Amino acid sequence: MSLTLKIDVRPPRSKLVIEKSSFDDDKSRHRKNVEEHHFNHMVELFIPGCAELPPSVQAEFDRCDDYYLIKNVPLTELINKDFIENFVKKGSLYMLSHNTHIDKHNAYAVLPTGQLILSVHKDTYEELGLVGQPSQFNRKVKRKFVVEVDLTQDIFVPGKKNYERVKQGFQRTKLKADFLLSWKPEGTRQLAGSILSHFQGSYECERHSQAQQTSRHTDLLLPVVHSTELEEGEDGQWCSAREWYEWLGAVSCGISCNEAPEHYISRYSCPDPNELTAAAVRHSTTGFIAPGNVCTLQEAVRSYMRDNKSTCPWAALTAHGFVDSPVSWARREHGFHHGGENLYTFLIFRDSNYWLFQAVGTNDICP
Amino acid sequence: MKRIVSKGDAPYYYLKVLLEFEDKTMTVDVLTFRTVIMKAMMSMYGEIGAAVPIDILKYDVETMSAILRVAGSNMVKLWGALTMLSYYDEKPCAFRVEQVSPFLMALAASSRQLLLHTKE
Repeated sequence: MSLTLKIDVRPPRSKLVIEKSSFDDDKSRHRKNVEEHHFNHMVELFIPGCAELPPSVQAEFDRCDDYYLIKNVPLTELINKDFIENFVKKGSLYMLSHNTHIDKHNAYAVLPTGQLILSVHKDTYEELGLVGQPSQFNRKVKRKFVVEVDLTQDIFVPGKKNYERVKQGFQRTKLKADFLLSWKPEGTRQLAGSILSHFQGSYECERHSQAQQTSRHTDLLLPVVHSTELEEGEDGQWCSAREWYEWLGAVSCGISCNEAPEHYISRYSCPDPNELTAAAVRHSTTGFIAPGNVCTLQEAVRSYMRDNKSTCPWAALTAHGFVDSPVSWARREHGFHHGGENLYTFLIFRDSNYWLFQAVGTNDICP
Repeated sequence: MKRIVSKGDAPYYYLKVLLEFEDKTMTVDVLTFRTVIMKAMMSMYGEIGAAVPIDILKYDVETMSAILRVAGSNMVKLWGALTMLSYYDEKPCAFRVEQVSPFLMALAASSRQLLLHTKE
């Protein structure tokens, strides 16, 4: 009898969606894409041809809201009637469990649409006694389950059967976690800080602000792209979208790609054709960034690009999602397998055309 | 509006790796670092493995950390070889693979290493 050892040498699967559209197009999904990507931990902007970040854009970066870290919050606190009425229903609430690795631990999130999403292990799921779905990414083994609780339902109130069942489940399992929290109240009557006073009495709360960082480049080679062509030009007049995306990644990682150092070390260099730009600026902000902030930032970049004074050919805005978030876009399930990337980049041209790159890893549904 | 969806195997994979020697004072330059990787591939897959093109996109001598690029079809081989390496030049050492992604952009940040910033 012969024994053969079968090694799977295929790399993990991934998906990259590249979309070309115009901001002026009625069917353009640029706004929906930003709004539905709930949990961002880093937003970065790259503008070539600029030595300094335009003041209007810098102002939007500075305006990014602070966020809170609330420690050891039991899940029963999230179905508290006062909490639902005063915060979940009266604004956009973003909550994500902190330091919970979705491939190892239970992870929880509250979406601005009012859903509480729980991604829990089989044991917890069985103890919880709530109806959920097995995770799409390990259907055969059924290791993880996803439970959704709609907090905004009219019948989700104390005394009702469903509410009591959820409450008993949470009390029985004693689930708790540290939560990152950001809340934007509807209208201007309430202050965003009032959510802090709700938790402050009973739990340890910390207020954090976004950390900004700027890096400047000089004499950088830029790949030439054509706003209406995603594919490489037939006679090599412009680069393909994929080549450009790899190059932008290299710039963000601080890789010098003006010239390949040596064949033995690396063969990577800026794709052809390219042009030299005297200066370029890259600005990033890190923290817990609500999609609303990304929206206003995108608008500020667009109006700067429309402005005739600007000399830059394009600008690139990237948002990185949390790798351990239970959802990526809207309520699409997200998981971690070797990597949990869920990020998007807008390449904004001066003629209001844009390219949108959406990149997701193995355990993710195609955006 | 035009939409291109690429699914399945990506053309390239990127790995953020760190080389650690038992002797903490030891550092290696980029050429030696490349040789360590080549030796690892050689001991696991022989001559063919050693000939696999691997690009060191970025290398930091101080921390001995690097960003590597390898073709999708060779990614699992490289990862395996790096994991199995335990000695270089008779000195005990190990590779730590910190992040792996088919998108170079994804290596620019990691939410698992997110540090919460407080205003002073």
